[in-house]
Amino acid sequence: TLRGSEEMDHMSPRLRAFLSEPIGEKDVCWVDGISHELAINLVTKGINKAYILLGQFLLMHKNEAEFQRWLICCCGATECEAQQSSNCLKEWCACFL
Amino acid sequence: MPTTISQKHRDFVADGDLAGTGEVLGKKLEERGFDKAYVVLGQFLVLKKDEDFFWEWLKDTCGANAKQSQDGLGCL
Repeated sequence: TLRGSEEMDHMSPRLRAFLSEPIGEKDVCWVDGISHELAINLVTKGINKAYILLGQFLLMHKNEAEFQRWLICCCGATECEAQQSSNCLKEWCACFL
Repeated sequence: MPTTISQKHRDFVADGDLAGTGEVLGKKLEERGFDKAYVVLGQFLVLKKDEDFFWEWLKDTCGANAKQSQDGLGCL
């Protein structure tokens, strides 16, 4: 289901951009919350595309807390980055799955 | 969203119950924690959408044969 324009207004521009079209082959840095430094860490681990991060989120049954823990512990994300990116992926699932 | 996937397919991936398909494969996947179609999709994505890797994973995880792997891939 597509988000109403009112809901989209409360989203950051980055989140809105990410949700505005299918995930395709977007690089991982497109995911809202993924800083440049975190993107480098992720790419080093082979997570260079947004869809791979999405895959990880789905593997964790869309459990945001679990996903955030993994992103922080295994990929060096800050709490803020972890929360923003898990929210972004959650929103993507709501829009496209 | 441009798609040629049927709504039935999308509904399946969104919240499809693998065991509900009645397949032995679905049961085995469920036993290993892959109780929803979107979790299997997650595995496919994490394998960078490589069909060969996915097939190997499916075989290793639940002894799927070639035909079942192909069907699973087709759905995803």
